Amino acid sequence: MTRTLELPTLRRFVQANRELLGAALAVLVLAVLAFDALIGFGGPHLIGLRLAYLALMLLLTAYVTLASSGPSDQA
Amino acid sequence: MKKLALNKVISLGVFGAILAGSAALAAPAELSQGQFQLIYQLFSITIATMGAAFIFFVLGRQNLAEKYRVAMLVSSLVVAVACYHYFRIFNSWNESYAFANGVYRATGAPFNDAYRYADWVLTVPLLLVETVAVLGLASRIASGMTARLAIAALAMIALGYPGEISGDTATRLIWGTLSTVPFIYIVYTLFVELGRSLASQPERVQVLVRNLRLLLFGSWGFYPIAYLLPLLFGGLTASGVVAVQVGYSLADMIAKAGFGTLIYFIALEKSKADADASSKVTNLATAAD
Repeated sequence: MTRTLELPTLRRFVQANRELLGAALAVLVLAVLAFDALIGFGGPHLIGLRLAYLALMLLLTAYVTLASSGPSDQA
Repeated sequence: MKKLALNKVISLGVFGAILAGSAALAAPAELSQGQFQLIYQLFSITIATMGAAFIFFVLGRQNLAEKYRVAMLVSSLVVAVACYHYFRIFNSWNESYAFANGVYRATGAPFNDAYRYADWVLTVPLLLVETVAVLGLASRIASGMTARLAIAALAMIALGYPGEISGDTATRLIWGTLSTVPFIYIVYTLFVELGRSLASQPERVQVLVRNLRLLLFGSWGFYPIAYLLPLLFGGLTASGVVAVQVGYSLADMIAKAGFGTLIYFIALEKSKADADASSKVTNLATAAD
């Protein structure tokens, strides 16, 4: 019940702030790459890097799904 | 409820498998000048391709309708991340070998090919997501498909890695076969969905979507071939490692920079079609008044 009420609100928020959220996510991705370049983020086995990428992938997938659905889909 | 629990088990299994495969590749003891230089040049070209694609996608975004800019943001991130990883792989390749007496000998520093798999954890699901986004499928269909494709992509990468780092033919074949199951699911789903979406696309876009299907089939189909190439060269020998690196680098250039470029042209045509349709509606409304 809660989910059906919250999802359209979240979608509206993402669509209203599409550019800003996209830029924030891009900065987040670049920050992870910078961390890896500077301090070897995740060590030799890259486990930390893979964890960071999994989290980023989930965030970006959710963002694209919410941001790319057109207004006609929301009815 | 049961479905939810099953999803959690699958997700945890995939997550565990991704963390499990973590060793770096032992570099072959010796490479000829030609073998070393081939990989060196190919990595350089791949870095340049990904960098150029990043600039193109960032600058090209402004030509698109707002709805399709999200897909181009994803394309930009995919090639930026790939560019960075190829830079790391390139450095690792250089550190793994030193030139002496006319050949390149292993220095003892392992060739860290794990960067390639770390890259795919992020970029492969995003490539699938941007395809769904630019097709403009109804959100009810798109959201379910996105989740399924993302899980299948992670399973494919996680299952492929243990075989990738193994020089043993049987191990490579077993993990390769397991990895092929989600791979076939992804290619089949996208191929079918792209086909289904053809009818709803503007006329000019239909040709591009057909090309996208072919490119998808061609580039993605090349990965399992590259994966199996060491079997032709007796495992991870010098020739086997060179064949894998050549195969993956070419496939990555096509699947990321090439695929993203085609996505851009589809988004451009769809932006124009949307603008045409919108102006027709405005004209009709004005005429009715």
